Amino acid sequence: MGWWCSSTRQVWNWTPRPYLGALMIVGALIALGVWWVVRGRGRLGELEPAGHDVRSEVRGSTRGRTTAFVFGAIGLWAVLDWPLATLGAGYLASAQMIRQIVMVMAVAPLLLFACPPALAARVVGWGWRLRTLRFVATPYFAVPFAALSLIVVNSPTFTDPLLKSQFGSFAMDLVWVAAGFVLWMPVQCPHPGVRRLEGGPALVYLVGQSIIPVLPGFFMTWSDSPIYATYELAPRVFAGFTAVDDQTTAAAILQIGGMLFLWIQLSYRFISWAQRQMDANQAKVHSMARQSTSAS
Amino acid sequence: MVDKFHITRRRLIGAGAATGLGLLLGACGLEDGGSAEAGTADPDAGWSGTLVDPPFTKPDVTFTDFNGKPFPFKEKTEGRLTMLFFGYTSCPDVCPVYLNTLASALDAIDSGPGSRPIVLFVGVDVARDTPKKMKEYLGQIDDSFIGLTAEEPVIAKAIAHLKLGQPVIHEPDKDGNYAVDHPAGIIVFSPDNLGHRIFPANVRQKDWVKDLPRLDEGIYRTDQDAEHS
Repeated sequence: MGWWCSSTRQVWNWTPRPYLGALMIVGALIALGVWWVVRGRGRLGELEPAGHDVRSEVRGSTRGRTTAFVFGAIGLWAVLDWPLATLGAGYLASAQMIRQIVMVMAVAPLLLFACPPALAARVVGWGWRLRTLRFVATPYFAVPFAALSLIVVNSPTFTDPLLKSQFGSFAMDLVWVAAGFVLWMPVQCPHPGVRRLEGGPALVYLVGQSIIPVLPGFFMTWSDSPIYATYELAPRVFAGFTAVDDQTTAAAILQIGGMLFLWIQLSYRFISWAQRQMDANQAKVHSMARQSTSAS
Repeated sequence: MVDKFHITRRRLIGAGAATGLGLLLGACGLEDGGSAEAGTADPDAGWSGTLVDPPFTKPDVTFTDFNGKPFPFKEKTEGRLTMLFFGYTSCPDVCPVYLNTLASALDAIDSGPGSRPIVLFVGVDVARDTPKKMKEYLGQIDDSFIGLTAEEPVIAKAIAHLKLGQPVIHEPDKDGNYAVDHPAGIIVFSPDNLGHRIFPANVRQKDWVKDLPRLDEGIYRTDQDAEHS
């Protein structure tokens, strides 16, 4: 069993070869989830913030969080382990792009949503770490950080040398996994002490972040030759699927796949926001009606 | 009563940090999973292939092409940019990557110097590299590539002339498949009929696009580049 995926230039085969590092990370996540269900949730009162500077309303049902956790954990395992990780690290740029899109656009928001606010408060606390988190969760930090990280890890100058070793590949994966979480912090930070963007500003933020993949996508689409040596010189996985075909597919996944995930999120958020607005309006109307009835 | 399972914030953070550190150390401690990529070892800047000094002359051998016709190497390639590669059609890694990269590079060069080299693929696995199989194999990559075969001693003579390693045929597995060690470089003969540069297996499309036109124009050293410009 290998530690982490890397480029080996060996002929591709479909024999499963899981990675210890990926299993450890997913195992740690599941252990945390199990601990929360078995022990942590039972002491909700103890863990809930009291007398603290709460800046965000806590939303989300237990069932919703559980579902998000299950899908998030499965997604995380899928992007970090064989076969997707193996393909992405040494054979196909398109597989690497699927990993990044799934992680950044689906797994990160799902896991952030799945994290109960009380647990986030327990882990981060209400002191200097919260102040750091508040800074990280501002769009002024999140967007440049995520953009720079994603551009760097998609740059051949960094990608090709890093993918050659397990450590380099691990470091690279760590960067874009972190970028995924940071990107969603301004709208999905689970800590109740962090003010999240809600409603219209959240939608504007999400539309704005969709600009990030444009630059690497542009180079991949319009380059005359394969830009990554790793994928160009790798043994072919599918006969006839050339390095250029792979690169073009990767660009399409980055731009179309990323947009698809994003617009699903946008639609969900818009509908939820509109629903809350309508409920609030209706409550106001009922209240006014009651007041006028009692006055008469 | 003390709760053994009580997880404090400090413990959680400590465990997270330890896991992260463990992952990093574990990754550091493991053997590099990188490729056994051949270094280009280029003595001249700006070239992907290695300069051969003195240059190779062409071997005086006659192969059989994939149409079953004799292919006297020196005569057929006289005065033409020629690329000679020894491989085998059942090769799972180096050969298809190499040939596909070269085919893409020729597409990219399109026209002008370096666009129409004679690309010769000599099948060293004589038992399996039949003319029919080579034609089918190369046809899927580039119609202009020519497959060559010959008796083993003829192939060995050509390889020895070019000072390359002789092929080694390994024992077949239970399914009858076997690997063949073969020279992994392409020797490029310039129009002066001399092989000035040998290109390793990790040459990229963009490098071929840069080097082939220069070789076709008789440039094979960086100092010539400077004179030419």
